[in-house]
Amino acid sequence: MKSIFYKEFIKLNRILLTVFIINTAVLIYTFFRVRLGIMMNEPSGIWLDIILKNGIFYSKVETAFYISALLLGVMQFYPEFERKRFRLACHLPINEYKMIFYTSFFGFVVITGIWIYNTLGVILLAAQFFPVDIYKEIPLIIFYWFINSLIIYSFASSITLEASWNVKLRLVLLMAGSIGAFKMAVYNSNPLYAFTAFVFAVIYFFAIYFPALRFRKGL
Amino acid sequence: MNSNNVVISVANLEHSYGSTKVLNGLNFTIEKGKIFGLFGKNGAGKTTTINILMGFLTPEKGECIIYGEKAASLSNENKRRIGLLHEGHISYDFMTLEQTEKFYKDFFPNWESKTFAYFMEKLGLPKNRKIKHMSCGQRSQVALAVLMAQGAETLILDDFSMGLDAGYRRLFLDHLNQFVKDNNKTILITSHIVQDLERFVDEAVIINKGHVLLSAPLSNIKDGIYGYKLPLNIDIEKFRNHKDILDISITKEHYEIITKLAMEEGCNLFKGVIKKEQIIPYTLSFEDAFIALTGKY
Repeated sequence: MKSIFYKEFIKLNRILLTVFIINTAVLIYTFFRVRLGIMMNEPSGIWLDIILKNGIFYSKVETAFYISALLLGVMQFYPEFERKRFRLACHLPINEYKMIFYTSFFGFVVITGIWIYNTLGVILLAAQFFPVDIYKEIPLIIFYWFINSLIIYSFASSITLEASWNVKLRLVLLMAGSIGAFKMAVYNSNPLYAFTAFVFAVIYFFAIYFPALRFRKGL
Repeated sequence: MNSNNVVISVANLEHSYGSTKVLNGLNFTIEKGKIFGLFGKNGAGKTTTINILMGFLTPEKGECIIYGEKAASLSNENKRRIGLLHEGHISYDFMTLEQTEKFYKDFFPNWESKTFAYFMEKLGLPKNRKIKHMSCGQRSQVALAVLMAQGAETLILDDFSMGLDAGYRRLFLDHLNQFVKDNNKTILITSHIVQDLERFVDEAVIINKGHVLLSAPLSNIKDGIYGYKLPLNIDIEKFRNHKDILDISITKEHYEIITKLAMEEGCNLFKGVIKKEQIIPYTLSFEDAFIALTGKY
């Protein structure tokens, strides 16, 4: 696993930096936007937006999270697809299933890192302006974004690695449907529900095996 | 043939792309320590055969066995024994030379750092140079260095000459000769530039449209075919479709005829058209023999 992670880190170090910059920039932007909003408006108006209209003052973080997952999935597997470089990994003296697992697990670890970073960032930011009642749900909400990001990453990886345009198109449709279904689950605070959603998202990770093994067998 | 010595065995291989059959029952075996050339024109089925051998294509029929295991499902131990050079010298070009060695070293316990260092020294590039910033020739040297340093017993080299100029092709073969012959390695090599391999391979299989045209030690490939130079002022067209004429090429000064006829029979064929003294025999190259067998188109 160490060697596969080493390769993935070298391949993605610039992408990881880009992802870090994107998410940090969005957190900073959100901080100043809320600060400015409070300075310019009555705080009670902002609270009403949050409480009555379910307005999420850190919604840009969701977009940044999804863009990061998409970028990661594409940029991790495009170099493998390009010039059929994935063949090099297939001939490494390591079980192919393990190799695919470790490669995609690297993506999982990075997305988990982004989730933790964004959750802590938004909580710290919110704690500057709001009482705990306003931001206590933040970890759960971002947890669902994390789940969606895992699905986006899984499909982005699969679609990038898949050689057939016909199959790529089917995967795109499946991704759109899956994300739509998981979006509906957002804000359900039942821990069992959240855990079930997470288990399903992890199952989606195995989508990467489909094009990887097709690639391996030349189908 | 001693079956214990067989490293690669290809039996009754058949494959099609859509309705186009590219392999029609291909058979050959490669023994330990042999340098084996797989030759054919574009579209002959070389790459398909290599892809099946590398386990990246499932054949419709037949099987490829390497070290007693199916090519598509090699054990880790056998993967270590086989070095693959992919067409176009593909590598992890986002890595530097140093990172490349560090990465591969973990997978190959018998990694030969000295060998890798030897190639890197010859290359004369800093260790922190990324492979993507190298020329095609330099990349070929890196790919070869990785194969040699991993200590593979058998090398499968798919179109090693792709994108290389004459100098780098010669250098690649020099290095192969140096490391392979000393260490009794087995090699399966393909190239579309057949003349490069004349001084390198022991045995050759020439395939065309998925069939084996000829399988023989390289020294025997030219047996039974002869080359003659004829002056340009004769009417060559009437010989073009003769059953014993395998190829006619036009050079600046002569027609070069490749035929199955030895000198005396050749003289009889051209009797009345040309004097015997004007028929100049010449030594055929491997490429001449290859063209004679497969045709130009």
